[in-house]
Amino acid sequence: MFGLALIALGALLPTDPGFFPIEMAAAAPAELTLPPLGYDYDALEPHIDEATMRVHHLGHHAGYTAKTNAAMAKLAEADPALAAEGIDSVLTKLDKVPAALRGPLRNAGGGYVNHALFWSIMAPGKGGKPEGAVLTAIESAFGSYDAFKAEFDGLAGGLFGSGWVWLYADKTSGTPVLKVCSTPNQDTPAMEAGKTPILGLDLWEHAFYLRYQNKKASYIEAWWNVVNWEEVARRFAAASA
Amino acid sequence: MADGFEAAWARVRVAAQWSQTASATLPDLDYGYDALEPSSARESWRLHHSKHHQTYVNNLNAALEKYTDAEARGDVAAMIALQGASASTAAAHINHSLFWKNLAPASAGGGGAPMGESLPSAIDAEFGGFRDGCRSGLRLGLAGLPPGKDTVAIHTTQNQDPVSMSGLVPLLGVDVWEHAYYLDYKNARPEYLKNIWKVVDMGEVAARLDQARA
Repeated sequence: MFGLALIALGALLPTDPGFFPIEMAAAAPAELTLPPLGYDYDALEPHIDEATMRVHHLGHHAGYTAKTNAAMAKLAEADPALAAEGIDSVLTKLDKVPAALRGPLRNAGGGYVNHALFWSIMAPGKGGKPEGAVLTAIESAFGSYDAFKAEFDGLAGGLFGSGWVWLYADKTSGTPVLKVCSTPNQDTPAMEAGKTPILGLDLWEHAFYLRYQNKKASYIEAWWNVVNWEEVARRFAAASA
Repeated sequence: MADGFEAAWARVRVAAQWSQTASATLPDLDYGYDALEPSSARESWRLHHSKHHQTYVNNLNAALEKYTDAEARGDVAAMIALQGASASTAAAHINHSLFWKNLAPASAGGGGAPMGESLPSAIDAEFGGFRDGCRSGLRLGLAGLPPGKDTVAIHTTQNQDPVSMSGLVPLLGVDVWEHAYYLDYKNARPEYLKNIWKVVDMGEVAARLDQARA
């Protein structure tokens, strides 16, 4: 009853959000859910083992999901309008977040979005090389696919501590240019507006330790066999739109 | 920047028991890999010590060789370029060397309550009792003694940053890099931390506090 009355009134009342009390004007952010992998836990064998995929998805990523929801709920109490923008937007505005929530949102929220991207850019029976527009963009930015891969691998091998290596589209100067970078912990290029990651490699030890232990280079080499370039191309197209 | 680095390098050499002619070496453990079970399996300790720590030592020696070379050539650009990697691996070597000394099997003093003249009262004063300190705070990172202050504190550091960078004297360090616990505990870090207390050598911690106050 109440819901119907509200919808009817909505058409008549001004859209100024200040008109309603703030609790009614801004919807609480929808709770994030753990996104499915899109393939079985053993589908990336022998490159990435089933045990790692299970703990990584059901342990680590599920944990980031829960912690992000908890932090976003607290943000909704402090700043409902900001919380209503969702985690992707909040990650670009951490300076506007209350100090006590900044760390949790950066770490858990970053972990949530980064792992969602990670599962999507991997798939069984993939690997190989990019084609089409994304290959053209890679060649234009790096000279060749091999040069891009060498730079990406260099960053990955040289990364000290927990973090990620990225291929991202940078639109900050207008047309999107592809670049690579590494970030510490759960930081992402997406923390800056205009930068869209299209490929990411998780280099936290939990991503490879069960199968590879300290042999990080072997993990990096194996990972290329599961990169889903079609998804990377799709993300590039979306970023270029 | 270069001066500060030289000073830091000097401390590294001392800490790594490193002479101008010798290299950093992997310190031997005072106990067997199986002696610290069941906090973690012997294979985990073996991996941590003979692979991870050994790699830090190897990388540190390689970096120092290149740095000494560059220094001899007067190649300042190369020296600066090597600073980051050198500092990280040096710190990793120091931290792990301290870590092995912080641990002992139960038969050799591991797992006890704080001992000695100063440590129990220092911990009590700061954390209101050792047990409570265990639950609430002493889980992560390094406990340090700020020089000039007569108290202990908990300090967490990023990556391999040594606690000495904050002017603290390390008393107890617990490695919470995932490689320290992943094979035995996977993502259950709290379980790892609960069990590491069974092999922490509080006698060593007390000795460091006494030495820091001397």
